[in-house]
Parts: sequence; C-alpha cells; structure tokens
Amino acid sequence: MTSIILIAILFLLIVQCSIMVYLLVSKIKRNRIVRKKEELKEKLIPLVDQFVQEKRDNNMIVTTNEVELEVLEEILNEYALLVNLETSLARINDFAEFTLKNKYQRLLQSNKWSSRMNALYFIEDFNMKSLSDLVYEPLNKEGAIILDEEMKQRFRTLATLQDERIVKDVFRISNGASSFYKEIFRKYNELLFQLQTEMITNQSTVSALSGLLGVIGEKRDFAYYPFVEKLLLHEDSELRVQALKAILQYEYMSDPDKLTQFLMSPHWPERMIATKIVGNLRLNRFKKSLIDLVKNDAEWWVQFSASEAISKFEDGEFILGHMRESLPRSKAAIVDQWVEKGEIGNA
Amino acid sequence: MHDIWSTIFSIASIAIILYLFIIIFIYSAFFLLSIRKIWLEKDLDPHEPIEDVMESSDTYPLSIIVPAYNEEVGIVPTVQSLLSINYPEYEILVIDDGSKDKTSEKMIEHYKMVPSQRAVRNHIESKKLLELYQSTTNPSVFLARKENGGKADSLNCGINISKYPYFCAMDADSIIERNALIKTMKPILDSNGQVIVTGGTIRVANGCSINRGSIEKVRLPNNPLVIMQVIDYLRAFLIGRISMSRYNWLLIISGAFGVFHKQWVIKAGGYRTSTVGEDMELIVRLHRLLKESNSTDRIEYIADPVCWTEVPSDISILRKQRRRWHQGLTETIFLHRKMMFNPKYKGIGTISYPYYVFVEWLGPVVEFLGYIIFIIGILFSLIHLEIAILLFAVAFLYGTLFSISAVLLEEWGYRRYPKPMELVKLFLYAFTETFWYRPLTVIWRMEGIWSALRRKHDWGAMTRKGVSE
Repeated sequence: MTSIILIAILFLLIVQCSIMVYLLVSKIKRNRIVRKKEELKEKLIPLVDQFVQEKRDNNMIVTTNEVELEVLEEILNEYALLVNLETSLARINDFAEFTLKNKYQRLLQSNKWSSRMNALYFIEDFNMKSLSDLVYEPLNKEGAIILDEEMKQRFRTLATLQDERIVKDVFRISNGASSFYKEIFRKYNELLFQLQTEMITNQSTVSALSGLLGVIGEKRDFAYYPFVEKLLLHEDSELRVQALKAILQYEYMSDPDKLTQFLMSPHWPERMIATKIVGNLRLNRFKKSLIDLVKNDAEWWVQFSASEAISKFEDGEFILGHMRESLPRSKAAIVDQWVEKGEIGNA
Repeated sequence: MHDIWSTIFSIASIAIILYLFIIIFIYSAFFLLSIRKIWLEKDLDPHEPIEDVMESSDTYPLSIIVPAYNEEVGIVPTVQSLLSINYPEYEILVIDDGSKDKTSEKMIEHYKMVPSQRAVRNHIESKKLLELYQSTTNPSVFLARKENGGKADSLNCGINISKYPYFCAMDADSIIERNALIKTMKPILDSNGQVIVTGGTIRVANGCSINRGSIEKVRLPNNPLVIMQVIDYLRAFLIGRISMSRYNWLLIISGAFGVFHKQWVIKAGGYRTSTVGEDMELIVRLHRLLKESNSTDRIEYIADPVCWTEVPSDISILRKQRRRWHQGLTETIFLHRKMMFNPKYKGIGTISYPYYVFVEWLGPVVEFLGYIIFIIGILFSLIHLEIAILLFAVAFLYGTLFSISAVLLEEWGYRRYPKPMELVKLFLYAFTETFWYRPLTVIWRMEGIWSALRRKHDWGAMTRKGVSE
C-alpha cells in the first residue's frame, strides 16, 4: 500500500514537473517570437509608410511567413485607425487585400473559433469585400438565425462591407436585441439604410423597429420623419418611447399637440421624454403641464426632467424659484439643481 | 483502549481523505470547464472585440463608486488612474466614509473641488451625507463626505448620488487596466441589459511598477506571503469563477471591481450594512431576487478585464483579511440558508449554494481536523502509517495541483507575467503551499467562523505601503 501511494505521489510530481518544463519552454519560445516581431515591425513600418504615401508598390512586401503576416496585420490595423484620408485608407485596404486575403480565407474555414473571429474582425477593419461570400456562407441557409458571438460578428462585418443580402436576413434573426440592430443599421451607407427602411414594416420585431428608430434619430434626416411620427401611435410603449426619443433628437415636431397624450401617459418613460421635448422646443403651451408634473408626478425621473424642461424657458428660473417655496424638501432638492445650476456642465 | 482510539482515528482519517478526494474531483471538473473557455478564447485579438463598443453611442454611461476610509495616501493616484481609462462616458464618485485623515482635503485640493447642488435621491438608507463636491478641473469627479457607516453604507450612499443607470463598485486601493471597464461592460451591452452584474479578475499589484496610477510593468513580488496570494488569486479567479459563471452559479463578484445594474441593486435593497461580506451577500440576494421574480437575467464573470490591488504583505493584516472574508461567507450562508437545496432557486439552490457551504465554508474545518488527526495520530501512533501518508499525499495534491493548473491557465490565456523565471518561481512556491501557507489560512478562516458567531465588525481597512510611484 505504502509503495503504491509513494509511486502515485512520484507520478504526480513528474506530471507537475513536466507541466513546468512545458510552460518554461513555451514561454521562452514565445518571448523569442515577440522579440522577432518587434524587430520585424521596426523594419516593416517604413516600407508600409512609403507604400501608404504612394512612394512604393505593394508587391515590395510579399510574404507567406506567419510571423511576418501577423506583424503586417498589426501595422496595417494601426495605420487604419490613425489615417483619415480616404485615398490612404483605400491603399491600406488594397495592401491588406493583397497580402492578407489568403490568410483570412484560410482562417474563416478554420475549426478554431478564435481564428474565425479574428478573421471576421480584420476583414471588417480592412473592408475586404472580396471575402464577403465566405463571410456570408453560414447565413446562406433557410430558416431562423440564432445569434451567437460569431453570427453577430458576421452581420457586423457584412454590414460594414455594405452587403445587400443582410437587409433581408435581419428579419430572420430570432434573438436580436435593439442595440444589435442599431449597431448594424448604423454601419449601412445611405443606400442600404434606405432599402432597410423600405423593407421594414409595422410587423417587424419591436427590437428591429426600435433599432431603426434609434439610428433615424441620430441621422436627423427629414426623409424618415413620417416613419417616426407613424410609430408614435404604435401599440408597444417601448416603440413609442423610441419614437419620442428620435423626435427629441430631431428637435422638431410637426404637430406638438400630439405631446398632450404623452405628458399624461400611464408609462413614465413616455412622460419623461415628452417633458424633454417640451423643454427643448420651449413649447409655452405646456408650461402648466410641466409645473403639474414637478409637483405631482409619482416618478422622480419625470419630476427631474420636468424641472430641467422648465429651466430652459426664459422665465424658467423664476418659475422654479417660486415653486420651490411650496415644495417638500425632496422635490425642492430637484428644483435646486436647475435653479442654482448646481452641477458643472448643467448650464 | 488504544485500539478503539486507533480505529476512531483511522475512520476519521478515511472520512477526511474521502472528503478531500471529492473536493479534488469538483475542482478537476471546474478546471476542465475553465480550460475549455480559456482554450476557446486564447488567441482572440484582445482589442478587436471592444473596438465597436468603444465607439458606440449605445455604451451605457456609468458611475464609478470608490468608497474610501483613511485613504489619504492612495486616493489621488486612484482617481488619476480612473481618469485615464478608456470608456466613453462616466463619473467618479469618491465616498469619504468619515475618514480621520486628510482623504477629503487631498481630493478637494488636488481636483480643485467646489460644493455641488446635485439632487440626491434616497433610494437606499445610508448615513447622513454631509457635503458633496465636484471638481472644477475634471467635472466628472465628485467627492461625498458622509458620516461613518462602513464600506457597504458608503456604497449605498454612492448609489444614491450616482446619476447613471450602471455603477462600478471599486476599492480605493485598486487600479483597473485601461480597457477593463469597457470589457466588463461588453456582456451587459451584448445581452441588451440581461446581464445585470459583471465582475472581472483581481490580480496582485505588489511588485509591479506603477506610475501615475497605471501599471507599467508586471512583476512578481519577492515576499513569499504575497507570492502565495498571487497563486491564491489565480486559482480562485481562473478556475473557480470562470467555471461557476458558465452556468450562472457564481455567488461572488469581488467588491474590488464589479459593474452593477443600479435598478436591480436598488430593488434588492442595496448593500447590507450588517455583514462584513457585503459583496457576496449582495450577489446572493440578487440571485435570490432574480429567481423569485422568475427572471432569466444573469450575473457574469469575465476573466480578462483586470483590476490590480495591493494585497497584505504583513502576516497580521493578511490574517485579519482572511478572517474577515470567512466571517462574511459564514454570515451570508446563514442569512440565506433558505436557499440550501431549494429547487425553487434552480442551480443556485441545488448546486452552487451547497458547494459554497460544503466546500468553501466547511473546507477549513475539515482540513483543520485533518491536521489534528495527522499530528496526534503520528505522535501517539494512533493511525497506520499508510493512512498517514495517504492523508498527507491527498493534502499535498490538493494544495499543489490546482495552483499549478492555475499558473498554466494564466499562461495560456493571459500571459501577464513576462519573465520565464517568474513562472518557475510561482511553480516552486506552489509546492511549498501545503507546508505553511495553507495551514495558516485554514486557521484564519476558522477564526472567521468564530468572529461570525461573535458578530465582530470593522471596516476592514489595511495599512497600505502604497504601490504607486
């Protein structure tokens, strides 16, 4: 018995020591590669720089060496982040297409999740349209699309590549959050965005509609304004809130009387955004409603935004100062923030 | 008589050996789960996944709450480090919990602060807020001076003051890596808010070179006590938490670095001030609330975002800290005993909670008994030599194998320590754990149970040597 235990201990010790040797050797190897990459980077940066500045052809740097490709990828990615000039960006993308396309083609077919993900990220960064069919491949099936990390990234990459096929495919997504749709729609160019807006219907999922409304609000393009107004009447409160938020961003409302229903809505987010619109557009006719909301609304956020809205009127500080006298302490504290502009950045 | 004692001792030894084997089995399962996750993500580009999040206008703004008690040495560099992180929109709220030193004065002077009139809500009861200041040089920096009430009370006060929908709870002596917050927020954004709490990894800052509140060079410290804590943290985070998080079974997000959905925390009643383990207690209560309200929302741990913290380099402070941790665990377990084996709480009630009770909480008691039996048994020849050797072998295995595995996972996944010799150092120290560090922590954790019974409370502050240059 004793000898068996001792052998077992010895065996485990050997296993543990082998792990140590493995770790040590791989660490030394890795450090050597890191050093080599640093040296290569120093050598390659001037060449890439010359190429970006159109002083050199891309075929001066042709390699299939894995480490060299990694370094090139790193340099080009850093350049892509720093460079603003479109012609330079186009040259960087061309260069990436020339040197890295084969690598990404291979990685996209790899069994390793992280390799495929990295390829998708860089194809997006370098706008490599020639690989869009390969990126699209897993989506090219019938039925609902369930989003996981990889599928999300495929959509992101295809949206950046302005691939028209996904305009239809977004409706096949069964578990998309509004933030995801927003991310995708934000990447579209004007043509694709218009196409998406035309295809979306009231029957589309709340998340998709909400995402679209979010981007329309950011764009503030009056071509989409009727679409926003239409959704103000949607049965889903979340969508009505999104439509109100978009209007807030437009800083325009064709028929401000429509706000009356929202200032009295049973849903507090609707009341809150409506007060913000009133404040931003300085709609005098709703001043009384704002005062009522500060005094009587059950929701703190509505009281807060109504106070803020009042403060935006010319006589706002006077009204708030007057109201303050008759308010209980907790509400007076809210008013104080807008009367005294107590926080830097509020003014 | 000798025979009876000998039999009792042998049976007890075998029971302990079996217990340790079960634990080894559980940890092995954890290790396999962690290895799967780390292996999957190990070559993923570290910057690409967060590029979009950084630029997105949908990234939720958040309030960083830093409770501080007598932190005059470290508070300014901590805020400085927080001001340099990559995150689109955030505010920093330092909550001075009635410090007796110059914590507030340092903040007011350095950040040129003036009184603020921000409307403060009273979501959660907390001790009286005395003054609120805002920096004129960095308007996103606030300082709240309040009556002393402890760390949990300070966090509650911070929640009341905070303006954004998410908050990050941070220790005043910790430094987060520049991209840590954005990485911690990513699961929340990706899930469209279905992840309500996320936490990152805590690493040991002692030994690293830190400049202006940022980690410049990661180095292993020389102090054996600190090296053992490095291994301890690697084991706890890279093996325990990765695997538990996979099934939403995680009952702890470290108080030193976690991001929370404010409304959920308010709904749960905020941090409990009557326990010393307020971080764990809140997570358990949130799990309970989620299950009781049939919510599918989750609590997640992500290994990559790293927060560096100064750990005790002094044995008496380490003893206090470990005692406090185990006291917190004991109190939380007792408070939520209703969840034990309760199928209503699904995996949390039937797997995670019993695990914390039988493995994390009872572990030191069983190990302590093991040491007693081993010593007395050998001294009075009450147990067979084979059993004694087996007991020792299992304890040794238990102590070293998972430490070494954690070092392996660190190197595969994160490679924070650049020098090969540092890995060897970690390795060699892991071998010594069974002989000194583990018995010490076992005793300290036993003391924690005793403190819980006596209901001893303090702020848990430690004397800092300061890691920043």
